[in-house]
Formats: sequence, C-alpha cells, structure tokens
Amino acid sequence: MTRSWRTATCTPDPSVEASGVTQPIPDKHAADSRRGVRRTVKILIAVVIGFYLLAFLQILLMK
Amino acid sequence: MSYAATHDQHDDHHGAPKSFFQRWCMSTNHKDIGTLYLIFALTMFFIGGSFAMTIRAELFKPGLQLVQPYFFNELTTMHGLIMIFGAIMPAFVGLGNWMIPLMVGAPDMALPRMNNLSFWILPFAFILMLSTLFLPGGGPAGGWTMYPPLSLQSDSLAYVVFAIHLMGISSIMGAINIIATILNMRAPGMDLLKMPVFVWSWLITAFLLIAVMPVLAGAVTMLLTDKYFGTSFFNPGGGGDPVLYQHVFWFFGHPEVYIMILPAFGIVSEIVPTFARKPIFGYKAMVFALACIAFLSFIVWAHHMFAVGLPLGADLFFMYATMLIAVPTGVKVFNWVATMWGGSMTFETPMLFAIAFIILFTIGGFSGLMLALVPADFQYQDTYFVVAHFHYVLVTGALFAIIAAAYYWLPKWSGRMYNEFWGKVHFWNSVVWVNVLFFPQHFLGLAGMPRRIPDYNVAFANFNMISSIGGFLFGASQLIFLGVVIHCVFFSKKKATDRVWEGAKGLEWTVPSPAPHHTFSVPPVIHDEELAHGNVHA
Amino acid sequence: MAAASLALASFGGVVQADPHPWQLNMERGASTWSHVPYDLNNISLAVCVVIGVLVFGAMFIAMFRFRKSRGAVAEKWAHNTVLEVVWTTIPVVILITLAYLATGGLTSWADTTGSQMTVKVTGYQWKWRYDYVSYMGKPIEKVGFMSKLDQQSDDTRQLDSGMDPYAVKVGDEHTYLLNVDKPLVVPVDTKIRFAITGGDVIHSWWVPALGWKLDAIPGIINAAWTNIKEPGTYRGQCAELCGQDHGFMPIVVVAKSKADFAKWLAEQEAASKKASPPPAPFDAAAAASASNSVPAVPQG
Repeated sequence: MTRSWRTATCTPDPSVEASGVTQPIPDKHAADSRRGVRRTVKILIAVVIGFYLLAFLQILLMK
Repeated sequence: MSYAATHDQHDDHHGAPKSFFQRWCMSTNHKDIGTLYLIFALTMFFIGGSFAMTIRAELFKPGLQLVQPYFFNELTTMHGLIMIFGAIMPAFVGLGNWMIPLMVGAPDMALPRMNNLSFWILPFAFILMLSTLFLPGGGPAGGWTMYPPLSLQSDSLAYVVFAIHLMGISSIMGAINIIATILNMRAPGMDLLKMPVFVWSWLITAFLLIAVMPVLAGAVTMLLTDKYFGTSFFNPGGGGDPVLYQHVFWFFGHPEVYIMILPAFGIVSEIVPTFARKPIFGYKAMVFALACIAFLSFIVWAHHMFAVGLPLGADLFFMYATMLIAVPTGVKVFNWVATMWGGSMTFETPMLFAIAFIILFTIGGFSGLMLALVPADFQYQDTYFVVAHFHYVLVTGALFAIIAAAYYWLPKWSGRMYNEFWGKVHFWNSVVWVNVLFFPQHFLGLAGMPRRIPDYNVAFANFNMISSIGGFLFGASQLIFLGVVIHCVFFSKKKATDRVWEGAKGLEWTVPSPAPHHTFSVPPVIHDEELAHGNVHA
Repeated sequence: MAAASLALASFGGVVQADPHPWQLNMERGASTWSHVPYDLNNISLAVCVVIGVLVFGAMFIAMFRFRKSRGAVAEKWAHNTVLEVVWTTIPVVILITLAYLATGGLTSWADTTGSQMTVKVTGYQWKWRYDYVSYMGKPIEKVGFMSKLDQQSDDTRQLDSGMDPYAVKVGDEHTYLLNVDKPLVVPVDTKIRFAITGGDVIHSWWVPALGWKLDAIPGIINAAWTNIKEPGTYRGQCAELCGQDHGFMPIVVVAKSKADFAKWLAEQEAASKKASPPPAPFDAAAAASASNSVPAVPQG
C-alpha cells in the first residue's frame, strides 16, 4: 500500500491500527504544548507582520 | 534512567525515511535539518573563504597583480555577505536546530514543516546571489553594507535585494520556531532558569532576529525603490538623505552582530563547565548578561557612523552606550575564567577552541572599546583597525565557537569519536595562523591603511605580506577540519558513549550516540542533579 | 641602536607625514588637536593591556594549576557575590574615566567657531575638488581646482603594468598612491574650517596627520577644523568605499608659512583672473544656436 509523504516518517503501531482508535490518546503535556505553540506563533507572526508593515508603510508614506 | 524507556532507541532504523529525497528534501526532523544547515554553512564558508584567499592574494604585494579594482570590490562585498548570511548565521541555526530540542526534552521543533522551508530557502537565495557574479555588470560591489548612492550604481541590486529578503524570511521563520519551541515544548520540570545557557542564548537571539530582520528588509527595499521606482529616500536631489540609509541599516546591523555572537557565548558556556568539571560560575548572571547585551545592542547603532557628521550630542550618547556594553560582556568573560578556576581541566579539542575563543574574542573586545572612543575612532574608522576588530570577534569569536561546538557535539550526532590528534592539529594551526592573519591588521589600520582598497602604498607592504601568508595558511588549515569531520562521520571506528565527555551534564547526553532519529517522543523525567544548572540558587 | 630607533619611530611620537614600514602605532600628528586621538589611543590601549594581562594571566595560571592530569579536584562553588560586584564596578569606573577624557576631546573637535579660513572640499568619483572660500575674513575669488592621483602612480597601478610601486618617489619619500597632481595648500598657525561635501557618492576626507576624517556626503555639508603647527606635506586617502577607484584618490595637504601661503594665494588669484576674463554681455541669438549637450557624469 503506498503511503503519502505525510506519514512517511511514522512507524505504524499494530496495536493502534488494530483497535481503530480515532481519538488522540490523552496527553496533557502534548496538548498544552500544542496550544502554547499556536498562541506563541500567532503572537510572533502578528509582531513580525507589524514590523514589516511599519517598515513598508513608512516607505509608502515617505515616498 | 532519566527518561522513560520507549521503543525509540530501537526505532532508529525505521525512524528515518528510506528515500533520499524524502529524508533530505522533505525533512521535518530537527536533527536532519540541523545537519543540512551545518553542511550548507560549511560549504558557504569555503566559498566565502575562497573570495578571501583571492583578496589576500591581491594584497600580498603592492601593485595590482590579479584582479581589476571593480572585481576586487565585488569580492570584498560577496565575502562579507556570504560569511555573515551564509556561513555564520546558518551554522548557529543548525546548531540550534540540532541541540535545542535535545536540551529541553522536546521531540522536535514546534513547527517542523516550516523548519524545512526555512532551510531550503537558503540554497536558492545564495545561488541567486552568487549568480550575480556572472551577470554582465557583475555582482554587488558597494560593500556588504550597501550604502547608497554607491550601491545604487550596481546593475545587480535587484537580485541581491531579493536574495536578502529571502534570507531574512528564512531567519524570521527560524526565530519564530525557536521561540515557540523553547517557550512551549520544554519537558515538565525543565524550568526556564534550569535551561542550558546555550538555549537561553538562542531564545534571546531569536527575539533579536524578529526585531531587526524586517528593518533590513525595509532598508534594502528602499534601495530598490530608489533605483527603480522613482523614490528619493536617499537621493538629496529629491529631498532625501543618504545618511538615513545608514541609520536604518545599522539599526539592523548592530543587533545583527550580536545575533552572530550570543549563540557563541552560549556554546562556550556549555563547553567550559564540561571540561572543567565544574558548574558555570554565576549562571543567573550569565543569563542576565545575555539579556543586557541584547537590550543594549539596540541603542548603539550609530557607532558605525561616527565619521558621518552626527551632531555632538548624538556622538556622545552613542559613545557612552557603546562603552556600556563592555560591562555585561566583561562579566561573561570573568565568569568563564572563574569557571575554569578551581576546576579539574582536560584540554580536548572543544575545550581548546573554547579557551582560544575567550582569549581572542576578548582581544577583539579590546579593539572594540578603543573604537568606541569617538575622537580615536576618527582615526580608526574605515581602516584596517576596524577590519582587525571585527575579524577577531567574528573569526576567533563566532567561528571558533562554531568549530568548538562541532567537535563537542559531533560524537553525539554521529555516534563516533573524531580523531583527537588531527583535531588538535587543526586547532593549533588555526590559532597560530589566524593571529598571523589578523593581528598585523591592527598595525596597518593605525599606520593609516584604509579598508576596501585593492592596492596600497609600499609602507604597508610588510604587514600585508605577513597577513596574506597567515590567510593562506589559515584557509588551508580549515581543510584539516573538513577531513576530521568526514573521517568522523564516515570512517571512524571509535564508538562514542552516550555521555561522550566525562564532565558533560544535561538532557542531550542522556540519549544514545548517535542520537536516534526521534528522541523524547515521550517527555523525559527531569532529575535536577543531572542537569548542568538544575540547582541554581543565585 | 638602529633597531631601537626603528622601534621608537614605529611606535609613534616622531612626526612623520607618511606611513612608514613596520609602523605599529598612529602618529601624534601635526595639528593642535591631533594629539587627542593619539593620546586616547595610547591610554585605552594601556588599559586594555593591563586588563588583558590580568585576565589572561589568571587563565594561564588556572590552566596550569587546575588540570586534571596534575591531580586537581574540581571545586563545587559557582558564586561569589563580592567578586562579582567588584568586577562589575571596577570596569564601570574605568569606562567613566575613558568617557570623560573622550568627551573633552570630542567637544573641542566639534567647535568650528573662530575660524580664520574656509576651504570647501568636494569628493567625486574619483578625485577631490578644493575651492578656497575665504582667508582672514576676505572672500577668495575663483581659486579652486581638482586634485587627482599623480600620473606616475596611476600608470604604475594599472593591472599588470609591470612597473614598480617602490619607484614612485618624491625625493626620498615613497609616495605611491599617496601623491596628487595639485595638492591643497594651506597656511600654518591658522584655524582652518573645512566644508566637506560629496558630488556623487559618499567619500571621506582623511589626513591622519590632522587627526580626523569626515564623510563627504552628497546633499550634506559637513564641517571640521584644523590648525596645523608645522609646515610640511601631509598625505591621506579617501576613507569611504566609493567605487572602483576608491583606493586611488589620495589627498595631499601642503602647509606653508603664513607668508609663503599669502604669496601662493596671491599668485592663484592673479592666475584665475587672467584665465577667466569678465563675462561678455548676453547674446540671445548665439545662445539659441549653441549646443545643448550636458557634460557626461562619470558612471560607477
């Protein structure tokens, strides 16, 4: 069976495949990390876009 | 065991993708991406180094023997751009990618796919930039600083600007990744003030990158619009001011040089305690000093502009602020020495490079202090005294730290010990020849030799010849490093232990050598005694 | 004896207008202010040497005393608050002292008032232009000229010229790339104000013997002053990358006694009056038929 490149690095775990589990196994640390990463990334991207806008807006305004 | 036993170690063989394209072009693995960055940086180092060899060959004797003056300017410009953006910065990113997740107990970086994009942008950007050398009109020749109006005379400006934008985006994405990883993916128990100093140094550097890369983008975009879209930001005929560019550029440029040195400080703070078998002296002071240096780096930019004709008040402010940076930097140097003092030291190659860093970077710092004094700087500015200063801090500073880190962590990455004898041969050659190369340049600057000139009065001949000889031999010595690395990765028979170095402490030494493709898929249990800074009270 | 005098001369103190082989340190210079960078350089260097000896000395002692092969057992301490306070405070004190000295030096440099003469300097790709504006309160008419690399240097520096840079001399002085066809002539013992600007890209006007350099920027007129003590010939170079011949646009300042300078200036003014007679009345017909071409600006 061909696999997509997205799962190429996963090692198929027979116990998981067999039970047909579709919900993620509860893992508070991973969930917290995931939430935190999303929050951090949102803030930082906003900051970066803000800086770029500042830089480029002043180019437009000063033209 | 300080980590829960998983099937990870045995996963090594199925961990990494089997296809070459899958593994290296589509990688989402921080270790492989780290390796890609490091190989890329090493390649760029040799390319930028070859430009330097040509420069030193031309400067070997008075008179023009090898290249036309315009091409010489292209060489100096490209040497700077390649070394800064292609060698030093990507090398630190590679080290960060490899080690940060391992040091904080994270399974990978926060955004593994963006990590891949961050890397692959770089080869494209540099091929673009290097290709300008082959265009009619040649590559950029206005110095890596690209001051207008001169830089606007270059036909290849658009390509270089585009390449710089790409590099900037790569750096910004990398910085976001690093901050998100460090703030959110540390294993439980890995408090911020228990993290290795290297991780702290990268956390702070990442904020610097986010703050200033957009500024560089703005500066080079203004160059582009001035040349092609009729703006007059830097054209006095249109109401603009060439000095404005310098302010904007150096607002980026000064934090940039701290971006290139802070991770080096972090590396030295990892290596010295290991080989002194003694905890880093003043952990919190070291972290605090990093933060102070980073903050101060934003308010000193005009010390690159002392000869521009700034108002007296501005000259004085920037002089005082610049001198202030010597304080936290001095604290770091003293703390490293205090770590050595009372230790039980051995002098393997990583330690040799780290000690050379401390001594020679400090010498670079001394010339920096001298440069900060404005009346003296009137004589130093744009001379070889400045060239000597920044090569001391960047070559014997940043580069030596990168090399030290490579020797230090190569056994962990590859699972094999490098050849210690040849490592030491590389070290001694490097340290001797780098000083033969750069120390005489102090004298040349003091005697009055300007920088960025392909030819000079015969009075400068003696030290130029000495410097060139040092350059050729220093360059050749780096081939020893290449040999040591290749031998270690592909041919060495000496297996490395997990801990590798007797005095090494930290999470990264608890995983096997070579580190498995996936580590810490389950967060490790942290035992404070096993960390380098687990029991910090002051 | 020769070695000792060479060492002494190499380390400065003796005013030599040109750089000399094996020169280790900057010169005290020839102007009333030029000792300021020289002194600051030496003082800060001395401070750095002392700190370096202490720090590197401690390192070398540590590397000897605390080696594992010598049986050293590692201590466990990682703090010493007293020590940390001391080595933070002492550098601050040293820095304040240096800053105080530098501030005085800079303030005296920045004050161009009371000048007795004004010269305008314009940087071009790749030569300088000097225009005399006023002397002793009197404006100077039409004394101005371009100053570019001397012909012998220019021929020698061509790629593969086969000519010997060591052969480019003025008397005993090796002047390769440090000589011009028309030097700037100024009087000694006179506060001379320079108005420095650029004609195309940024250049920088630097004569080490005067103690300072200042950028020549298009659209900006920068001001500096000097007061040369001794008659002589002082050589410098452009100090801001300005294109292909950045290394080939030197500066020569010839300082004459006030009497000699007055004579020289009078000759220049007379020559310029003869060279350009008063303009003829405007002839509309002739102007209409005149060519419209504009002289080409040198491209980079």
